[in-house]
Amino acid sequence: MIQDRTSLMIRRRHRRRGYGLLELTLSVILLLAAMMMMVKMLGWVASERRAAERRQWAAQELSNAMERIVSEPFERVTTERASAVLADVPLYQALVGPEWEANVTDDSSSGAPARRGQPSAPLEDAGWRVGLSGPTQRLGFQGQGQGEDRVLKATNRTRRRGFTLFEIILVVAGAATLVATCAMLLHVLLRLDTVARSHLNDASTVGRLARQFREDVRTAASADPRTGANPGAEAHPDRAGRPHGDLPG
Amino acid sequence: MIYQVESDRLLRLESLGDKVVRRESYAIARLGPVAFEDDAGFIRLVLLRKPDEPGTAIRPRVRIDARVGKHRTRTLSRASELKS
Repeated sequence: MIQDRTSLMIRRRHRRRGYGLLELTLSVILLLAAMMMMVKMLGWVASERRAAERRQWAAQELSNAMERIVSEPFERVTTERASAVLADVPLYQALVGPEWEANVTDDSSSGAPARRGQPSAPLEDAGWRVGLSGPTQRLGFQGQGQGEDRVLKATNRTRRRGFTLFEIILVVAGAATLVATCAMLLHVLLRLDTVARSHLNDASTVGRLARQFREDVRTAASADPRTGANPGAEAHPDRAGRPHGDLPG
Repeated sequence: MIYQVESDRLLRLESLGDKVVRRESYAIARLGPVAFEDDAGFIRLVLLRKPDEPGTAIRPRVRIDARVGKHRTRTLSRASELKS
């Protein structure tokens, strides 16, 4: 009787083949959660990039507004006038639900020589280890008679050599799914990176061009934009009549 | 000073007499076509940028406004202030 119980325990202990349904379910749930987090993170990165880009374009529009405000005569630069100019800026094209506010402050009380108009617009728009069992422990159980035979049979039955075809197919399918998922995520990441880089290049080009173009036109005596779009559009900011040393410091 | 569009580049040519002394190039392949507009004392450079959303046909305009002779006006007014 005691031998029977012992052999039953041994058999149970050796009945472990692979993983239980609960473990598999947990692993799949964890994997799915990790993938969802990754997808959410990618979405967050993409939306942040778009928001940053929109802010850049909105800043460009605000520079245009500033160009108009500071070219007004000094006496006419008031908060109302700045607000009127800002109202014409198509910020809605760049930002979602933009809000802006113009404040013209007088710095004369602080000893500064001039009044400065400073429109401020909030440019806010609106990322297992699976432990296999160790080497099979050899049981030093020594039984007698029928009980010993049962133990030997149980040991033989639980001796595991290799995997079944079904297990291999499952593992291969799981690995293939994981590799495909990783490849897809990698592809999305690379595409995001490429798009972000090209948009960054565009913004950088426009920034440099805006600085240089404004500087040239501001220092020019006259300008002759030959109307027309690509190709062959031209502008001639003419510096010929520019006196020496007229660039502001 | 000449701003000129050549294929996918916007060239800025700074010349002294007939000789080009400086030449700068801006890549506008994704920002074209380029147009220059005159707007009552302002010169406007208009670019069209790639849309944010894929599949959108409308390309938002990017405007760069600049006041012609702004620095000269300031210089003249400063000079008249100094004279007076």
